[in-house]
Amino acid sequence: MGALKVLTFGWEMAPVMNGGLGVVCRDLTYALASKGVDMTFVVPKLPHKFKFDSFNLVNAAEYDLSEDEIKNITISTLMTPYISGTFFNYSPKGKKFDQDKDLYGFNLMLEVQRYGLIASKIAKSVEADLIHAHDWMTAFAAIEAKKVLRKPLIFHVHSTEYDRSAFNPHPTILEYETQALNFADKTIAVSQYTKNILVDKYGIDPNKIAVVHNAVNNEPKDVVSQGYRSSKEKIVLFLARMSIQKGADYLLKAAQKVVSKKRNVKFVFVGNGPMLNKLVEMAFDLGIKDNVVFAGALSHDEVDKAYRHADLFVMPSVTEPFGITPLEAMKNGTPVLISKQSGVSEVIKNCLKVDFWDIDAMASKILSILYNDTLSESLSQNGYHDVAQLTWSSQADKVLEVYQSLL
Amino acid sequence: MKSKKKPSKAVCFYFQVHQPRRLNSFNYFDITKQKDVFSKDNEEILGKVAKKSYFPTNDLIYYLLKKYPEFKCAYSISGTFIDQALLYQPKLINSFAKLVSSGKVELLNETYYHSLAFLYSKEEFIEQILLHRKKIWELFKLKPEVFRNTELIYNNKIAEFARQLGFKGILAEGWDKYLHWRSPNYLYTAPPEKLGYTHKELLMKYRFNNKIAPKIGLLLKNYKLSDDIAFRFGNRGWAGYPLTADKFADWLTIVPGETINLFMDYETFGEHQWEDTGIFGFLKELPKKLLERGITFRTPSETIDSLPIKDSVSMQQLVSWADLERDLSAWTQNRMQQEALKKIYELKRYLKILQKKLKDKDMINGLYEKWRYLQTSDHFYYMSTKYWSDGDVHAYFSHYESPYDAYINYMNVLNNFKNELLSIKA
Repeated sequence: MGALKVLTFGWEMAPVMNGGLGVVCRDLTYALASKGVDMTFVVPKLPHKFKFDSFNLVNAAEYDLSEDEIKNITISTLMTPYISGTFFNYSPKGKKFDQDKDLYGFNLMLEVQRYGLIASKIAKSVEADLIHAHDWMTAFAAIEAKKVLRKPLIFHVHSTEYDRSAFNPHPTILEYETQALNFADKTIAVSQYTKNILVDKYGIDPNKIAVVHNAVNNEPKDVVSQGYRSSKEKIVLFLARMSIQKGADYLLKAAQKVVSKKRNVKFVFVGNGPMLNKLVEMAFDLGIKDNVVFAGALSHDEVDKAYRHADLFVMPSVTEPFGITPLEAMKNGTPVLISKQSGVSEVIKNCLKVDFWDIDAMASKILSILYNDTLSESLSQNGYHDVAQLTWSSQADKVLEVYQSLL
Repeated sequence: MKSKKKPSKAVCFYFQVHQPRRLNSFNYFDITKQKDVFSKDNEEILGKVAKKSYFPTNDLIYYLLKKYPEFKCAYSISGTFIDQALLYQPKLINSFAKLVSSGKVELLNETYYHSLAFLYSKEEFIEQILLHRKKIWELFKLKPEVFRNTELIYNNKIAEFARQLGFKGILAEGWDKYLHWRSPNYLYTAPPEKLGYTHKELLMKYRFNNKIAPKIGLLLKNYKLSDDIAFRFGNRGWAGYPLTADKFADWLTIVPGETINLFMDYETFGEHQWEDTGIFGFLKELPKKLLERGITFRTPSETIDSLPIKDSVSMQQLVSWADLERDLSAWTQNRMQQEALKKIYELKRYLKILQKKLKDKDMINGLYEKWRYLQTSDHFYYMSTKYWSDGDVHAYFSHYESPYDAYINYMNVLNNFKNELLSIKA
């Protein structure tokens, strides 16, 4: 018997990526390959050629479509996969603000459908025992591939349209998602929180959904000493897309309350996104512009440095299917305060949690961590255990169980 | 005179009755506000436990006391329980008084606020014992002769303190590590312990009894048999399940020894072990089954008066009845607990200064009371991170989301109280 062959459809692959999905896909695929699974991972586009030793990376853009095939694609106007709802049309000063545009052009729906057609071609040229697809953008690709190969399909949900839109879903995307969920033989949700959304909002049979939490790839290093941190000024870090989903506006409101008690705090917001201008205005309106820094997007190394310099990392998401950044922060020895409306809160215990809308509690907890060294050092040291326990190897075992259940 | 006849085997029951006075929720912004220190939930919680456990168990014990002349038992009722019972469930106090009036129920002395004071202030430790003593006399007209420290925290020094204060006996965990080959089922004593001059002087000042026992009686909990009832009774995965009164009485018959010390939380009956486990039926049957097998009952005082001292058991290290480690780690292990304990006992200095300056006696008493309520061991237990990552018994007993939240809340209350102390102008 040969190795289990899995044909995987993704949207991005680290290091070329826009959000956390590329990292998760790389680490999970790598962990599965390490366990002897023959993994083929397809992405719609790659800006330059690169490859992995342990699995096969396929660039769908290298496949051509005939003119007839292209005609079949219905045109729609959506631009990027992670923007919709209230801030859908928001574009600061008409500038390009999103990597998605550079990666995928201006018409996302076109890309999604194109990807589906190519997937069908790829499926004809490969052997596979299972199909594994990540998030809604791969919905068409997954369905087309299943039609060709007639093999079980696993649809892996890293976020739902309800999350991305903070519960103002785009109807077309919702439709694609629902199709994929219904077409799939089994669904993997990145948290119980997400599973609940799939059951409540999409009506999916809970028995069809397995929960496999994400992890971070790490060898826990020595706890980063407080030496990185300055005692004169406290730093609170936010790191995410500036979209309605991520709740930066709630953190800003809490920041105002924090600043009313203590002046020497800087709130550093890392990341870009459609809400950025609104947030800048908000900081002015709240009278805390001197206590807020908008740092834009940072490189990988700069992000690690930002975690280490911060006295506290806050993830105030309105809804977060998983949320890998708190794990990254904990890995760097930074205490974290996270929204209870998140999947990651199911797997980490040595942190503080808050309802994203509870501004008073958020501000109060921020102050407690910043001005009590015993507390912040306890969180920092114990946070390590949480991160050390969550490994991709153990999570890949859970995915393998799902694979086995379908063979 | 002790009889020469070999004493019969007896069960020595001691039940711990305690409810902490839980703190109100204080966020960072509340530190500078005037706000009630105690949670409104206390009333509801006491009402619930009273209904599930205290009232039905008291009724059952009363029945047993009436039915079997031999049946006896002992309680230690914390001051924080008594205060709250008087506030919210005064009938509970009557109910305990009814048991005491049988003349077969012994009450033990403990620190009023169920505190860890021995570790941080010897004077405070003694004062809390005396406060508790006074309360027990007021309510039940009894003068306890046997001491039990919070959570059975014990070492040679604590035994010597108890002896020099005037107690004839003390309770401790029968932990194998210190017993070695010895069985907990006999009466023991503590080895002589030399105290420093300041401690001796302190004890001279506070002793409530001029007849100091030459040797203190040491009763050791038989934790295996006690925990069969307290922890394992309703556990379907346990080999002893289901535990019937007959089976348990058989076990006690086989066990060699003169006293089987069954020490446990009173809330075992109906709260830790729910009614549907059959715990009440078990307790109701047990005296009969034991008496049938020639096993009788003795209170701690009677045990000390009637049994010969078998040996001296030395425990230099602090021992408690908590967790697998039987040490103090549940309350003092992590830095948050240490910091909170350090900070609360530091406030004693402020109180002493105010005591000298303030003329208003009620005010200073009120401040002392608040300070003492903040010493209750439960507050520190909630901060334990020992098994936090695995989630377990500590989490079960805590109403906080996490040990961190428990610590934050406690420190906010403490800092609020400190602000209050600092703002008082004499």
